[in-house]
Amino acid sequence: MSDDVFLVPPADDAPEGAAREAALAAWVAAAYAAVPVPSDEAARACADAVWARGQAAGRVGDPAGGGRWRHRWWWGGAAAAALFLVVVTRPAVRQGASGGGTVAPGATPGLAGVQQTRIAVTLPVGARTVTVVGDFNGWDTGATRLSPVGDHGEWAATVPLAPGRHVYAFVVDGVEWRVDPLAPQVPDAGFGPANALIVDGGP
Amino acid sequence: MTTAALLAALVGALWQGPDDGAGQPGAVRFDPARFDSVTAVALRGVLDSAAAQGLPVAPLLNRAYEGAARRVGGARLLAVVRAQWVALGDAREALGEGASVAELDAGATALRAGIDPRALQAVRTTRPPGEGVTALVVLTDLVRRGVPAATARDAVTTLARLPGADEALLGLQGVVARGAARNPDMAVQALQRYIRGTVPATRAPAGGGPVMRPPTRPPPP
Repeated sequence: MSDDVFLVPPADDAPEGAAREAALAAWVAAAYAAVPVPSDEAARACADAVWARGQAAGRVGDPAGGGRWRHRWWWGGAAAAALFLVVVTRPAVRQGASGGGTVAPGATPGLAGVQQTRIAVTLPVGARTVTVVGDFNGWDTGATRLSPVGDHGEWAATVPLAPGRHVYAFVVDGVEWRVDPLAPQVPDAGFGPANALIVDGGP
Repeated sequence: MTTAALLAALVGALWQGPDDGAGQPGAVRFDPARFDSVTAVALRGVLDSAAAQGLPVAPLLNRAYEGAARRVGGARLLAVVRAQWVALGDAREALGEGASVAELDAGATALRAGIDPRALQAVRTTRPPGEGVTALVVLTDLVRRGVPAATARDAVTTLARLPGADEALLGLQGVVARGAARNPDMAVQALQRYIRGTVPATRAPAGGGPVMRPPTRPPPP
């Protein structure tokens, strides 16, 4: 391995805050880049060694092969039991723990407290697509599309929202971020402005 | 043992038990694939530290996802999340241990908007734990629109004591937003008109209403 790999991390007296973060990130990236690329022959030898080791481990306990079968059966049974445990008990645990809705992509309407909330915005005529992104859909720009209402530039969607406060914004044509100028706004927290709405009954 | 480890990882990944908060209302799950590897590791550290302090991690994750959606750089994303983490702790100190997650998030946002922690404490005195979100959101919005922080605090705490306070507060927000949209200097005037028309004289703050102060824009973040 080349000595180039051992790069010197940023000194303790490096700038604080974002500058130090950037320096650290650059150092890590440089360290990765400095790792020499192995030759094809070395990579193949490494793969062969791993394969041989795995084969040897599988035969441990019963050279005749019966032990291997039992080994596989045991792990298969364990996997099936684990999946059964997850599939059967997971929903019950979630509902019992939450007592309310989950704000996430695919949030389930009908959970206690979740309310169908209409979100609308009026934009200059000419927008082709409008989506709403926010805490309720993981800020996924493709998750919640708005539909045009009338021909005056209004777009709207009904979204299932859990009680609480949600920060959101609109994305026009996939690139332009907009906020509703009259709705409650949160400050530009380093990203850009956004709106906030409150669903009653929150925790 | 490799198979056992893989099985354990599979079960752990599928289970996502209640300890990670995934079942809580408003909860979101950490998805490291939405960040570059360096940012994901650093973000995980911030989330673990916040959780160790008993702070909610969902507001931090939401800011991280917002930054990823806006395609900001990892350093800037982490700086915002860290600032929100610190502000969440300050908000808990100001609002008390009984504050809800939504209140803490709104309070942290208010603090980052330049609002004094004492204003949060003033809101707390008017609204019981869990019912101060609207007041905090409106307070932040008013300051963002150019209403001086002290004037906004007086108006919000006055309305927050009224029956049907949340509706009155949102009405104030709408009036001030429309006034500021016409002319930033009209935000305070709109606020005072709304207070005079909404608050009974016996409940108006000393001096007949919020004190007129020259409107100022909040400092840049």
